[in-house]
Amino acid sequence: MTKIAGWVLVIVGLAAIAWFGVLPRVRPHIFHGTVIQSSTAAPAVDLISHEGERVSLEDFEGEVVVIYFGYTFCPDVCPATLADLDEALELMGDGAEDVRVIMVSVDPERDTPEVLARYVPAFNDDFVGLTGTRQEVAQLATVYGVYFEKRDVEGAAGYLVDHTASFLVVDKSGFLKLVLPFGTSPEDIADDLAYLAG
Amino acid sequence: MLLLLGVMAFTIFEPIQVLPRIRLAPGYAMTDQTGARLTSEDMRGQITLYSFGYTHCGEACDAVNATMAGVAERRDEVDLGGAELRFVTVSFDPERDTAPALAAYASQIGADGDMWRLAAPAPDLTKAIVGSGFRTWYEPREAGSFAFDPTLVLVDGWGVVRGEYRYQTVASDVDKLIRHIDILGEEIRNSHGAATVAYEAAHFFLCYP
Amino acid sequence: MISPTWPAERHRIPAALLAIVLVVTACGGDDAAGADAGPTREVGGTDDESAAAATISVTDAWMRPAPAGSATTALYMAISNDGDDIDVLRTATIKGCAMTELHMTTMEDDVMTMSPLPDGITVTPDTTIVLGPGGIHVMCIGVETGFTEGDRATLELGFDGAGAVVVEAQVRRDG
Repeated sequence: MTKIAGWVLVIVGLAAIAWFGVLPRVRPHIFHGTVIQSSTAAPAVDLISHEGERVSLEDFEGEVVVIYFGYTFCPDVCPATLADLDEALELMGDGAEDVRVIMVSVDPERDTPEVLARYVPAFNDDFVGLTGTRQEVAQLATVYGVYFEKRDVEGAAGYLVDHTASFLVVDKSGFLKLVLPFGTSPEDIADDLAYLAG
Repeated sequence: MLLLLGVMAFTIFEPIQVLPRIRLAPGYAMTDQTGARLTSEDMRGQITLYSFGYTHCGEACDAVNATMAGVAERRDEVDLGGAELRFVTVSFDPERDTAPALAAYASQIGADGDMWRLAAPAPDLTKAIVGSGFRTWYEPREAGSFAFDPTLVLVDGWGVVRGEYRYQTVASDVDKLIRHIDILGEEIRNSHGAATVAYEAAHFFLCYP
Repeated sequence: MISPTWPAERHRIPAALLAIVLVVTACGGDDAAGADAGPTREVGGTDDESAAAATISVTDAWMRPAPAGSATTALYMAISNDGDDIDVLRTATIKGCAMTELHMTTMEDDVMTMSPLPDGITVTPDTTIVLGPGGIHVMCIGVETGFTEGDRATLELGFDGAGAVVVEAQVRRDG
């Protein structure tokens, strides 16, 4: 009788270990965007920050880097995305220390470092705005799968820029890992970033 | 629990084949053979097979063009779950490959212009798109010819490169491409509910063909 | 979940997600969208026009903060037409902005496109149009005095029927 009880205990114990210990590790994290298994480092970045310094991805070594292509003349979707990213970092608490958010301007004519300095840190002091020549920005957008195009409009704006609204995540080892679509909730962003930062 | 066990069993005993998500395809805006804009965003939601060449190419492009035409001919064999299979031949000689030049070349190689389009990027971004983006090597040589590495690139509806075929292509490669496109189609058809987990797991456990 | 935009929704992100234009019909005079309107108030134009202005009410107006010297910022609100006639919002002027225009953001696949609305915004009777992020917005071009969180921004709207309507918007970070 004691023997049977012992076996039951062992089986229950093993089941508990499997349930709580093993399965959560085996089950892959389901990301909220498109995962990329890149075997090479994310394309190099070499642009001017809103503080006027040359910046490359190596400057953020060991951090999860979120790259968003937007522009300061965009008052609607771009602030909404940056505000969502800020909220996601807030949800992450201490885990957010290893996350860096970068906005690369797709409107380098208007977005000088000074203009970016007024816009980007307003969302979060640690966010970085990047700009460069039109050619530099266009080349970077191309290799990050981002399309953008200037479009002349009537009115005071002069021109506006259509652009891919999704944002990209580079993991801690410098590999492009994830593309998150526009409209991803701060909770989902935080979930994915916490997994990558952890 | 049952779901997880099911997923694990599924993965272990009958591996799902998936194509790796190699990297992001480049973002681009090009001009096609009708003079219309063709952007990377136009291809979102569709499976696109890209090839690279130029209209003054001559027989150096014959093999790649034949492979494109071969896959196009057999596209009905694959079920992409509602998505469509598109073909784009990108020119790395945009100065000469104007819309009329591309249109003439399209009829020469049997590109219908709707399902299979020919397009050229802006000259100052050609290297970024073809070279850095699609990782296809090319270099101008004397007398307006190019040395290049004939490449085919398969891109899914999220703009992710799922296959690259960078060797001198032969006709038999059509079989391989059709098989790979079919694997993508299966992924689209099954990417709902619990099967999604299995597909992510297949990437996790590297069940690549 | 691989991507919410494809293949399930490959043509357009659902309007609900973007809150492009939420049209609430048959809300009568009940200000359905303005339950916590708070700082917003609605003022008629001149005395002569006040009867007409009463058919248009604006609730829950808010604006994204922007320091002086910023290129742009956006203002959002809900516009209700409680009258019997179609009315059209033609102009908007925000105090402290060099220029003010009506703009609309659209999302085609995953590309963000913004366009001016030179013909204004038509508000049909018994309808509330919600201007919100990712949809229609009042665009402030050339921020002169700066708007910080907690401020009030003064907005003057010009309607065909209702005439001038002055609204105070709360400056805050999100809706």
